[in-house]
Amino acid sequence: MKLDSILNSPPAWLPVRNETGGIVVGTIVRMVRNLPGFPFPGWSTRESRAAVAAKLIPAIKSVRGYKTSFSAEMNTLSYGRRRAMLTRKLLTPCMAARQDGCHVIIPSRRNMILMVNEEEHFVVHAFNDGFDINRSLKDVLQLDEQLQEHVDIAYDFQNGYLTSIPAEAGDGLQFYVLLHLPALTFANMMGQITKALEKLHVNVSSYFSDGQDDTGHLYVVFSIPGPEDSIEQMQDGFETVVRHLVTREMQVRTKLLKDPGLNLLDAIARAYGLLMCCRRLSIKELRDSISFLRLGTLLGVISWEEDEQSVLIELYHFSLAMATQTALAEDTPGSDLNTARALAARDFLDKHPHTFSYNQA
Amino acid sequence: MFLTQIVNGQVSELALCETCAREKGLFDPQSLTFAEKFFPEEFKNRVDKLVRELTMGESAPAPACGLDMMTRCPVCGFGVEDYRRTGHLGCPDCYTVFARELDPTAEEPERNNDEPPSLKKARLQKELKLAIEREDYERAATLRDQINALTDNNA
Repeated sequence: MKLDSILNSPPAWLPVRNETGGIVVGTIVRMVRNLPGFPFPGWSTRESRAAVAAKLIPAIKSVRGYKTSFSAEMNTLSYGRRRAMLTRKLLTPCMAARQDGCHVIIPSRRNMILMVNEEEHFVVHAFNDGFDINRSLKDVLQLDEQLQEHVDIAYDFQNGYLTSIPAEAGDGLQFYVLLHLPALTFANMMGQITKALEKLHVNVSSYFSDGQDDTGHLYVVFSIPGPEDSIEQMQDGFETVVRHLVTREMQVRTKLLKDPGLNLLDAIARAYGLLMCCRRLSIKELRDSISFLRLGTLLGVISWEEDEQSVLIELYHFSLAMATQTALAEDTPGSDLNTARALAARDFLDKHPHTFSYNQA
Repeated sequence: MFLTQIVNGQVSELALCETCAREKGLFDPQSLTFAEKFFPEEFKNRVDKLVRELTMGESAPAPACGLDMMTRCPVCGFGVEDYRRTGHLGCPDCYTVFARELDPTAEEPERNNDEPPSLKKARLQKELKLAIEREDYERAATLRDQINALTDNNA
């Protein structure tokens, strides 16, 4: 399996309509494990990282379904490819910075990424679309069980699974959800929400970890493991917080639509106009405009002749494909992506017949 | 490793050897160029903190620790000071070595209070020998003081 084909395919967490109205895009469960007797990756030498990889990689490949995985040592991946993988959540920011003795593995089902020598010796991210922690949790725990038949894992009865940060030792599990929150972003509420969530052991960060903050109105909300919380308590608390965020996003959408200033409709119309007529388009403009186009579709402002669900998925895929192209262009400086992006956006709208309901405004 | 930070036109330059970089929590110097490229804001904050630490002598306050705690992990060489500064540990064995530091409220390991002074002195001397062997001089000094106190009491 080649990396290019993975980068050109829809990611495993691509959204479908669910009970959250497409607000929860996808779910990720992170599991970390370490081998006893080896320094953690942040305190390791090249030799000890290589020794960890030599133990873990054959063990992973011996698990059923992982033999035909994509596998690469980080020092073989260019900046552009790393960035492209980051935009698709196929790497963590920590792993993107790693080099010798650090490996990324993507199984053929593409529902997981396995990282050797990330912040811990072994890190798994399991994905699924929509809001379903249990599905990914089942996948990682199954892999954990199979892997422990081949390698010893650092564990003690007092602390649980041992990690490089003692505060995170325990079950070695963490939950992430990818949220599309255009209305809360538009209403400038994300700052307040982020501060409030910190008090509940939940963190929020921008989806695109490239310093462009809230572009595309996509966020990653994740649980911070507490030493006293059981995995069930952490999951319950986290699911409650996410549902609350979804409710708030829906409430704000309704409120903004009723706003006599028509601010939200204006933003959707501007985004639509930009995509229809632009000749040059930055990646930030594209991400934001696609986000408003999705919102406009969900609110019934834009209607498509094709199946709405497939267009919504295509919009996501288009946005990610453009982000991937932008990242890969770092390897070939000098290409004029703004013009190509504008052409691709106009082309997308031409190919998908639709109606913009001006009367609602 | 060389770090240059420019804030409001003021240039701060740092030159750290690999050992010092590790002591400052920069465990993976090779990743810094990536960090600067990928996360300029976070990188700036990190370097800013480092400059402050080096110029103002700022460091995490050292909590009171038990007398019997080792200060360096014999498996990976990670020190208790490294943990206090970074909040990270070096390897899974550090959990046992720094158990008292990780949980200061944990009870002292059970020890026979009725241990005769001669036996206690022999035990401490054995521990002292081990501490010197692994070059854990901080621990060795503590043990030496305990042995001297026992000798003075018996005199």
